[in-house]
Amino acid sequence: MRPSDPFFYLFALLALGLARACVCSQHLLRATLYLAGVLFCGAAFYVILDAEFLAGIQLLVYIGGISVLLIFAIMLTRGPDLLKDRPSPLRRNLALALSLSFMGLCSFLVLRTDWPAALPAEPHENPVRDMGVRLLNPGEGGLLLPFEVISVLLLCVAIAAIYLARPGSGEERPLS
Amino acid sequence: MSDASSLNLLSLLPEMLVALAGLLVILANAVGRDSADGAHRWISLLGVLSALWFTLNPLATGAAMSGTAVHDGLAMAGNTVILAVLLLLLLGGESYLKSRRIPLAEYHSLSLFAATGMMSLVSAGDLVTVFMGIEVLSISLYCMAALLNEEEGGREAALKYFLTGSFASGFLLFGMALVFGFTGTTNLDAIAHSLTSLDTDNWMLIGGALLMLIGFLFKVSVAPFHNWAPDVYDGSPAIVTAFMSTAAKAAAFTGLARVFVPALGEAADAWIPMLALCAALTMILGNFSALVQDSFKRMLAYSGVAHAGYLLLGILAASSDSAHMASVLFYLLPYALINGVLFLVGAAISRQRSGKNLLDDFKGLAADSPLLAILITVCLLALAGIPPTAGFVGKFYLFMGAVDAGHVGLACLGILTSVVSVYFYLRVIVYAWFHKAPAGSAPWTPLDGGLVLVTGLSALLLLVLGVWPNLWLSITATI
Repeated sequence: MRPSDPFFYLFALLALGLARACVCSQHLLRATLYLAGVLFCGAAFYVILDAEFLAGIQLLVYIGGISVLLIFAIMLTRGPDLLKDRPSPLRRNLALALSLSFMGLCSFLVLRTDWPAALPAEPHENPVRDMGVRLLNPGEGGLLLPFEVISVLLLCVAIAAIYLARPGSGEERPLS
Repeated sequence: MSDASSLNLLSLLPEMLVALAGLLVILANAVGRDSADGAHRWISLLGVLSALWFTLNPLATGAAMSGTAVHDGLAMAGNTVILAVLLLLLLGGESYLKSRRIPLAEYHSLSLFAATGMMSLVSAGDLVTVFMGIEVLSISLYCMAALLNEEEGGREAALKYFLTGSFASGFLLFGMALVFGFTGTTNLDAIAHSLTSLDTDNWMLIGGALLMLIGFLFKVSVAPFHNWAPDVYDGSPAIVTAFMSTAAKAAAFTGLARVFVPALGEAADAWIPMLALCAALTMILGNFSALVQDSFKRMLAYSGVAHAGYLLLGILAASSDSAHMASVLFYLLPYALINGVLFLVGAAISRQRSGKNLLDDFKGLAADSPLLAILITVCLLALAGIPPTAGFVGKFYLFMGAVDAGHVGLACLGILTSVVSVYFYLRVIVYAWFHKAPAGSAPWTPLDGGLVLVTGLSALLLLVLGVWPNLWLSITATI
């Protein structure tokens, strides 16, 4: 048992509890807060795995960005009323069965895999720098092309968001 | 840092030209405002034609950007299909875009960006490029599906497409992560290389391959992951449906072939049973569901599902002998052209009648416009796989490949379900030639000349390829 193991189990239990609360909560705003908690536990896992950079990204993008965005979206719409309808028992059971089978599949994969006994033990001096170099490196092992494709992706998203957010997109509608 | 030759930027020219055209469309819209409507189309045409030229006459081939992209025969064939569809829609879709008041700048730029994503996917040499290509094409298509979001079904289609698409991307990413965890690389060549020395009977690899397969099967609408397709195809604007059911499917199939046949070929025992099962299910469900449809678009959607099943037979054959990849690539071109033409012409015909894309709209078509009736007949016969069309040759190669690879049962199932499919294709033909137009339908107004010309040429190409398949086969067989 490594010294980090108790922390792992602590955060794993916390994440499970928060995830359950998030899915079962009837209140959209509370569900969002629980979700932020689950994401925070994810950041904690990254810290335990020595991936501080990913932990930082998780905190910044998911908790700082996406959760706040969700909360804004809920406050700007009639959010809290949306969860009035209760799913039928059939849908509930179907969802439960699907989730359990997916969990079974994942556990099966984890338990049946012969994990590599020793991980490549080359501690990265500066993982953020290595990552940056890889992303912008056109040479061996570099990922410059996918990085460039991301810019096309972002442009598409921007066009899509502006088009969809424009009032009466497709037809001229007077602003009232 | 590498020298300039390993970048091989010239081989990426087609992708760059298409992306550049997309950027220029946005710029033209910003500068020219309302007077730029014609410019969008001309810029797109110029971009697509030049990209097509450099695809067929490449200045450079081989790996580019240190192996994150590979321009080989597979990429060439895939790019040709994508650009051909784009050209067809550009030349034939103008009247549709105008009549439905689809915003031109958004439509043209998003379709060009979607094509950029598709082309990155078919020439991907790395799992990261595969994923980025899929995301660019998907996100552009989500928005294109919502271009008419004020209409009934438009919003639902876009949201459904978005949700199922994101779900599929999740599976794909999870699978990629597991494969990366097992092989320690995301480069497709390196994965293939490392699998020759590793024990492939490992659950991490098998799980990764299966999850990636599920992701891809969602994208190409293979049963049991096909439920989104009919609703999305039905609710999206016809020209967008024509694009996503042809070019996007061709790109996803080429991507699937690229990831599974060369890279994960060593682990074929893991994914072949699932692929075979899905192919059988898809051929049965697709064809039998298409039998009972009243909407032309939904019928074509289910027929597209069925055709995904036939194409899976080609992938199965290619996994035992990569020469059979040519049969998949061969069939993609006629399949894409037929569906592109049918969605465009079907929408134009339906506008004259009920406007709801019903099969009944085709009644009495031959009396109103014999030329269109002939066009529709040729395309539907090609989909059914009846000689002398390219559809027959394509299906023949696919089924022969499956027999060669030892999947005789699946090939028989393919032939049997093709026979079933003849019923619903013939139904439209019978409506067109032997039924009278419903009483009280408006007098026929001739369709846009450009649409008739370009769809007519496509139908002619189907007949030419049916008689002289080597014209296209010589390109697809260079892999």
